[in-house]
Amino acid sequence: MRETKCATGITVERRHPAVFRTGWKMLQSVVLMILVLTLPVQASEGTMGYEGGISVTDRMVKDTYRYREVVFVTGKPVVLDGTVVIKKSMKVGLETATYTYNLANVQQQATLTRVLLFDTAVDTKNNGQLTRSTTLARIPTEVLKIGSVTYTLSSATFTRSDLTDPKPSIGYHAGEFSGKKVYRVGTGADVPSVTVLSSGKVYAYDQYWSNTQTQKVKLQVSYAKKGEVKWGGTAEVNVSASSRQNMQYRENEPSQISFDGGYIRTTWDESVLSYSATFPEFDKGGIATDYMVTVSNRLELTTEPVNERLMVPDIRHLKGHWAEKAIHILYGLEVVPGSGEDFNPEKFLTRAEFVAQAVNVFKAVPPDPNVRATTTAKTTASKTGDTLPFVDLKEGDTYLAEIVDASDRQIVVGRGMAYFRPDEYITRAEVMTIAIRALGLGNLAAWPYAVSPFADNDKIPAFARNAVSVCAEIGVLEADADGRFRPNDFMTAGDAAELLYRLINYMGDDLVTDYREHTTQY
Amino acid sequence: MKKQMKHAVSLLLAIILTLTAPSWRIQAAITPELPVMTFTGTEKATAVLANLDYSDVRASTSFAKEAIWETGALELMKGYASDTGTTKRFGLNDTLSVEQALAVAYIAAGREAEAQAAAETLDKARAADARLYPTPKMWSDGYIQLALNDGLLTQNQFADALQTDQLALTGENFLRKSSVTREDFAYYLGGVLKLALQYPQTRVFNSYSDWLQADPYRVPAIEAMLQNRIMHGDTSGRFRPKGFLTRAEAAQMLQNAEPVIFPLLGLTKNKGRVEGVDLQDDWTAGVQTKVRTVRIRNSDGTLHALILREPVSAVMPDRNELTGTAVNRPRNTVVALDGKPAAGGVLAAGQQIVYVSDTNQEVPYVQVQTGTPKTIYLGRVEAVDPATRAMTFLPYREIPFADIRLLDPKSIRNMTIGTKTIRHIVSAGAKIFTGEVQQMLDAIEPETHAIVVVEGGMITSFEMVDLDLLAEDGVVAGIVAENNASLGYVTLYRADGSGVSSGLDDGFSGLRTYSYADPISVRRDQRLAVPEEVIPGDSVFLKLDDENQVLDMSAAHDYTPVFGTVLKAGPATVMLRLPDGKTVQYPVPAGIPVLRDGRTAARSEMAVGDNIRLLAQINGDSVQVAEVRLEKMPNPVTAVYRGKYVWYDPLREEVVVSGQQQFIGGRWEPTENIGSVSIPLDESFAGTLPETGSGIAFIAVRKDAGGMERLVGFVLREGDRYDQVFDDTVASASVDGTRIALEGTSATLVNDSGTLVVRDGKLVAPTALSPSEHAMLSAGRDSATGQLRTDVIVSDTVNRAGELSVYRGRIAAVTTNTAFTLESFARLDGTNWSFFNTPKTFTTRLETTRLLTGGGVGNLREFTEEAWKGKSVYILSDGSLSYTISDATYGESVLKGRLKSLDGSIQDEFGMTVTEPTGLTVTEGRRYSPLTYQWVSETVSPVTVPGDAILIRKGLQANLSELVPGETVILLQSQAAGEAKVVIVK
Repeated sequence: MRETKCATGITVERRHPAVFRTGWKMLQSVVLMILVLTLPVQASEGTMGYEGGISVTDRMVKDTYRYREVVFVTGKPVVLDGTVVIKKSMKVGLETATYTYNLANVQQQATLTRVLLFDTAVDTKNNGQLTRSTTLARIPTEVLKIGSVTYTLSSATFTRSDLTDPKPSIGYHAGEFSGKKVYRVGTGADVPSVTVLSSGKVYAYDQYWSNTQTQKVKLQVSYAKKGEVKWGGTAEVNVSASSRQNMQYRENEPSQISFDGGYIRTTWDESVLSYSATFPEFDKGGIATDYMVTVSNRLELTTEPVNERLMVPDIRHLKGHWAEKAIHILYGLEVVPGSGEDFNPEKFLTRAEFVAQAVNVFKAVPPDPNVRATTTAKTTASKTGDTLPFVDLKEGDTYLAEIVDASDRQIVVGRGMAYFRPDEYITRAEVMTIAIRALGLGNLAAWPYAVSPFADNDKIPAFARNAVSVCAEIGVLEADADGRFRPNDFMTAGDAAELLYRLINYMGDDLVTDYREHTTQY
Repeated sequence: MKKQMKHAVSLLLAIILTLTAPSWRIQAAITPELPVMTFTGTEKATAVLANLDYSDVRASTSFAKEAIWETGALELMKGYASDTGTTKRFGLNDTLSVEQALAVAYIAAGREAEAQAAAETLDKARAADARLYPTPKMWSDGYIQLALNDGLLTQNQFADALQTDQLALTGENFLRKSSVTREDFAYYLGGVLKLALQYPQTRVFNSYSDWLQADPYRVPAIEAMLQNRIMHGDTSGRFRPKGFLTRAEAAQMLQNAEPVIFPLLGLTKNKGRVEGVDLQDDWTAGVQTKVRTVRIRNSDGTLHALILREPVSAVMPDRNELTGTAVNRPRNTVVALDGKPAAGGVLAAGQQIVYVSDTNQEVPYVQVQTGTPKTIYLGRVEAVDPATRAMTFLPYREIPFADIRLLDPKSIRNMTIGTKTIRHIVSAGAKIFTGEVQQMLDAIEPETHAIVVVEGGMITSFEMVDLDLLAEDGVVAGIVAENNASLGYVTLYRADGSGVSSGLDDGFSGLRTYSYADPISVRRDQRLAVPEEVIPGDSVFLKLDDENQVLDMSAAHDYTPVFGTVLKAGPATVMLRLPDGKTVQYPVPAGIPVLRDGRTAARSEMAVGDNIRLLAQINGDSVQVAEVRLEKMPNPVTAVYRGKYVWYDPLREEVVVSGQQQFIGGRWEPTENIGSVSIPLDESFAGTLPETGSGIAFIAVRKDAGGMERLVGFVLREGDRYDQVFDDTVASASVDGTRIALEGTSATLVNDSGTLVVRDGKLVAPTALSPSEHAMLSAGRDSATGQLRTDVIVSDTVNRAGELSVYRGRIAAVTTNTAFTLESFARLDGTNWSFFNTPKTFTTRLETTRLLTGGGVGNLREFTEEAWKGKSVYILSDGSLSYTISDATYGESVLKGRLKSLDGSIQDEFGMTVTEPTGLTVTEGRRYSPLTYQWVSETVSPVTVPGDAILIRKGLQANLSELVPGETVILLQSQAAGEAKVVIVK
């Protein structure tokens, strides 16, 4: 039982009947278990480390990733493959992380072991953004053996800073890091040293449908020995790791089967490393010449895809409809509740119905799987009925939980004066506003107010104009045959299904392409 | 005599007074302070006052009395004679008729004169006996005409209104004498006052319980009235859109609309306190006039003076127009005191007054305030405690009125901000506005600017304000819709992003256009620029002078990246295929920078099939491209295969073929895979594949990041056919891409939509092929048409065979790291050495010249004259710039063949070379015999290629590992079974 204040300023006590409470709690834990077991394992920011390597999760072992990296200390790129174990723990404002690497390349007779300890100070700003700044907690250990030569780390510095901008359904990250490592080549006094300077930029986003992290790292390698020739080379390494999913249709072959085909959701992780290294050519005596050789290549790591059959709705009455695929998938993903026979694509959606669907598309950002919080985490299940953010909602309303969830996460703000108007029809402009608010992409619009590319731009209400422009820009919205958007028409169920499907594709595919290819290939 | 003296004295006094009247000093003041502003009463005040003596208002207790006096004094609403004709009445509780509503609206907007002119025009147009002049009825027609002009009435309504026989009209018609409904009044008033209509997302109106009853076409106007606080709902939460208005309510609405109406009428509202009233006598022209000077301390601290003149004699003196003597006209004002209108004589020291002044510095109306004194502050919220309802507020200054629109922006801008905060409790009934909608106390955030009204020690009203009054005047910002630098004007969209279409349905605001004359200072993206560089879509700030001409322009771009594949690259345009399949054409003029990997590239490097990124600003139809970036590391099509189609597995997304052969060097060669092979699809492949099928599948693949080949192109042809291959040069290709002719054969080849065309490693359409390109084709006869239909075309345009040449000679002199000279040299032309008995100098450069010596790589720094003079070397050079210098021994035995395999290379599991290949094996070998001048075929055993051999592939120097089996190679060996000295792959 909790005392909370409603929007009108009145304090209210809410209580469920006892039976309902225990039953609800059981249901919550069951649902949570199911979600954990079926959710694809997520890769979030930092799982590739900051050495310019790539990783994918190893489903068998907790906190362990299959890892691949290219080292340049010899003057030639050498690929090393193995595992990295990442353990993180979080106290208030401070995150400590340990990265343990074990890598090898058999044909080149190379092995690498490395242990790094990071201390990250996490600061939450007033506007919800988080800044992180990382340093090494102590001098790391690293030993690299290639052939007969051993490189031992003698000193290292590292700093990283990044900013996380949490939006209702996506967390965006951007940051940079730089480091310096000095290796001693061999043992003894007066041995040569190799210095590796790295500076990198990190871009990442985390959300339910996909996540991608991209690093663009510039490395400078220089070798020095007293009295001998010094050489230097550079390498540019672009790495990116994604967890992705896609949905494909399979038709059934027997004609006498109760459903003629369904969608299969495939989830997998993939990481790509592409590098371009320019180093001096070494002569037959192993001495560096002035001739620079550029080598480029690409490497990849993927996990085996996991397939999951989605629920098959009964939408025979929609065969041939232009939104049939979108509707089928939304039912399969249980974004739209129900089994499909009663879906009328030309029906107008009420605000409550749309929000209920939107909440299933704009799911909350999954938490970092590597972090084990030392303080007990708050239960994530929301207890319905404790806080009603709008005065025209009451217990027992359909979709009450979804509306409350959407309001808590600031995806919806109502129609003013603390009214939500759940039974009124939602307009197209309002739909775009909710979508862009959940994606947090309002800043893509031009200042002061964007001008959308539709012929009826002027009819778009001012509060929605930026959102409509951004939706057109990211490609989820198109003009109709007249070039119009029709912002004040009510949204039909079919249009909403098509839009939500495109948004799922945007979050699952287009974002990956944008973070992976568009940042590194141009 | 005495009388004359008296006259003289009075004349003198009058002269003195009149001459010094504008600057006369206030007597009896301790320090003579000059009033900053001087107002006079109006001439009409006496008449207006007489008309304001409404019998019905006098006795009533209506809340609107104040409004009635004010609107009467300002002549916005007038009363009429009562039935008996002797007294005047206002008609407090009479409902307002439609024509009266229109009249009120237009008078309030200051368009009375316009209406009268319209009325006269209308009347003149009538037949002589139908004219209404000069009855009041005629004048009200003028307002109806204006309403038609402004679009507030339709033609039908106008026709109904002007019908002479109004009684014949029924309820269906427009009845001008019927009572106007609240929603209609909102519509007329809003339209005339040009209040921005909010489409249709209402924020305030739909909180009223009866909002659905309103006519939807009136809703935007009602919303505007509510947001401007001109109209309100009743206490039970209803707006009553279909209810009627009384004249008293209309008067009150006009008073509520002061902030909107006053600027239109040129009126200013002032607040102050009467410090004192001085009486003087003025004896000009022998008529006694009482001059009453009211000293007012304005709320901004300055002294104002109001001069009223009341002639003592009731009758104004006649004037001799021939002599033109000065006339004494009374100048008085209407004062509302204790709910009654009175003349200016009732003003006394100590009264708190509000006075309205016009542009002629006349004051038609003064209202004496009663009740608890209110203090109004403009300032900033420091903290709010919802529990105790206490607010800490930092007042910037005290202001006279609680409406920000009534304040003078200049005075706000120049105020000094204090540091002393005040703390008051917010009363439970306080009206709190943080936007258009009334809120609760917890909606107030610290650091917001607001106007608070403090009454009796408590805050009774809170309104958040947007202090761009504190901002610079004359700066506008917006997005550029059009900028015409030659004609000198820039047009912006409206601030809220609208303004794409200007039409009748747009209300009354248009696009904002500002003109400028050269030169103005322009900055774009923080750099100095010229006006032409500001393009549609830019966000811009314009600094304007007093005449709204642009002085200064500061703009920022709004580029978005556009990704696509080049379909056609012209000199001024580029046609792209976007990732979603759409095709667009953008203007890319010659000067636009083209970059690859951060370095400038030639425009010609952008070829069909390339993936590019454009930075473009797209605003409606106008597209401005700022930059083109070519893909850094494009992954090319690496091989073309064919095989018997087995199946396509949609679950694994793999195609399985058997008997795989690769199209290499213009021939189909078996690959190392025996039996069936699966080839996975590439992500970018968008075609559909049949799950089962028979025939020969032609597949183009590219290597992904993991080194695995993935399908990017596919065509299935019927099986059991005889494929013809061609290795030739394109003679002509038809424009639509359906036919292609080769130089070396007379057969005409037909392309269709399935033909796989790989050009320089990119999958393109057949239209990309052009004459003189080297192409290798595989075609089969189509059983239906009998024509030779191409299946695969592999073409490469890169033909730099002529660039690099191989020389050999004895070194005469060396300047280390700069150049060296051969005493005489031989050059390899094709397969023969041509000898030249002249010296030749080559330049060397540390970063680009390789020295190969002793079977491996050497160090160019050791290339000195002492060490190398007299040695014979091979040189691979481009003109005189040397790329490789090798001391390998002379080889003149030429072997041609097809590369079968590279030997001796060790690779790790990731495909990286650990050890470079040491040799190669050649098939179909033919050796040139200088004795018989013929090519003799030879079975060749593996040939060693040492580290100091010179390798050229496709006109560039290469490493042995770059050679691809199937290519044609030419080797120069010292003798038949020796090491290769030079390896050339065309």
